[in-house]
Amino acid sequence: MDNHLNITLFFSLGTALFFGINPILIKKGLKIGGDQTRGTFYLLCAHLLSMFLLLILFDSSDQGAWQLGNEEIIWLSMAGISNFVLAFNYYFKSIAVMGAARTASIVNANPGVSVILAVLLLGENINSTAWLGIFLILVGAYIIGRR
Amino acid sequence: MLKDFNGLYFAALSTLGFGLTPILAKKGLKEITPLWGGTVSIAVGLGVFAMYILISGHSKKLFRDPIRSTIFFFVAGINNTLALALFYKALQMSLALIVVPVASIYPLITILLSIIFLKDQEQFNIRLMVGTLMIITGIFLVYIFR
Repeated sequence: MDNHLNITLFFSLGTALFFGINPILIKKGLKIGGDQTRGTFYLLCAHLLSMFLLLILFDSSDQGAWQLGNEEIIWLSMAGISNFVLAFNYYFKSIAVMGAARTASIVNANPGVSVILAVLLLGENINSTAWLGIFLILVGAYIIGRR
Repeated sequence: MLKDFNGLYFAALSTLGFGLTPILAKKGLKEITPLWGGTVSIAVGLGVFAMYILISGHSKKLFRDPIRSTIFFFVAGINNTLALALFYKALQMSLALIVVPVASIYPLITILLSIIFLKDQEQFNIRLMVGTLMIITGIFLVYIFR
């Protein structure tokens, strides 16, 4: 395996590790008396602060937010509301009710939802194998969600 | 039964929100780096959420939660930043068809950690494992053969 692919796999597995730890931390916080809504707020505060820190430390590009046009700002704002208001708020609620493992597994179906939405909203085409993948994702989510 | 339905409903809405994000962000990421785009999105999301907290009355108890739980949520926020930073870095170096499927194995890590740290609070059964593996296989098929 070449070095480039090794590094990509290292970063991808690192992503999986950090995403995998998150539901455990949230469940622990909820278990010892944390509130779901305020918990989401604390998480977003820490998320924003640490993103700023990363930008200061590692982003040397000259492509900052000041270059954004109105249309891009609207799309990114809608992405922010979708991801950080809708998704994270219900993520907390779901972890509180269903537990960390089941929630993480069901929410992991979101790349399948993205592809379905890309087909419906952006008119992208996918082949039959990808449709089989979407079928597996939906059935998998159904199996986990079923009581 | 009702509790379980609620959980599923919350998870479905969360999945929809996470699934919708790349579609919306794709249109907004023409001129800037993903790190900047992510920061703008979080800032807007936090602003809107802060308004929601004010209107819903949750702000009255803000920063009066148990300190240990608040620390867990703060660490989860930093953790999410690290995950996103590594994800963007991986995408910068390679194609989504490699990065997304590999990153999608994260529920297996959550299940493993749940068994270690949340053993008495979580339910584990064969359906959870089968469903999780089906979703991961599905993501591999979608992203590799798309």
